[in-house]
Amino acid sequence: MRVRFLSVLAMAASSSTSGGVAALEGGVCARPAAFASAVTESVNRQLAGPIPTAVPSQLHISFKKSCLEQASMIPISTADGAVKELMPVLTTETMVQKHAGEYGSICFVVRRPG
Amino acid sequence: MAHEEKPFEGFGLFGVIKETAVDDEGLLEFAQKFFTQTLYRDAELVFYKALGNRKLRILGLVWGMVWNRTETKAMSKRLKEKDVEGNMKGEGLTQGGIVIFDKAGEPKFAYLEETGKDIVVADLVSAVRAVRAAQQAS
Repeated sequence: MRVRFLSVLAMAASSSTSGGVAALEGGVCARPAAFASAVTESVNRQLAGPIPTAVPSQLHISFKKSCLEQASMIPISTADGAVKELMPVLTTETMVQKHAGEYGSICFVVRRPG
Repeated sequence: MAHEEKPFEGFGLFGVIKETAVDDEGLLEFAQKFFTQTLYRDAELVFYKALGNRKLRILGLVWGMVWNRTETKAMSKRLKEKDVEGNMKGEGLTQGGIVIFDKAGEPKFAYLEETGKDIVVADLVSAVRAVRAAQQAS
């Protein structure tokens, strides 16, 4: 059997939250039908169970905003079937602010996309 | 109890990667099929460092797969169901995760990737709820 290595937090991301967000919120999901339905099912299965009332300790962080905010973040374009790095380069602070929703934002830190 | 229909509503979504021009084919597939949100290259790898610069131990992973065949089968099943394949191109040892920011851009919680395991969505929902509640209270 060919071993399938999932890179990124992809499995993670794809298996739950990223797909989950899109699927649960009825967002624009360009994923294959099988993927979207599998993700929705996976997320719903988990969400049918109890949600912890307190945030689990393993999710608490030890780093501060200052560790991140001035670093360089280069926007990536994948339009027209090509990967391009775009200008201008943003600081982390600007990037996070740009994606802030009403309450905040969620950043997927991808291990390996392929 | 009925669960929330949109547990992540009110939160923007984006992603960071380590490199380009290494496996652009894989990156394109990822961006088009699995993560259609905006991606950035973290030029200084600050997110990975903030998450502890944790390295995936291949031997440990392989041993774990041999040792726990049930979990390995479950992982294979999950990937197959989601039509996810992968490759070994590029730097894949430094593990990732998920960082949850509040409206002011302050990192509040983080999930550390556990390669081979599904994300515990319920934990993430609890973190998102806490951030939302703090914003609503302020």
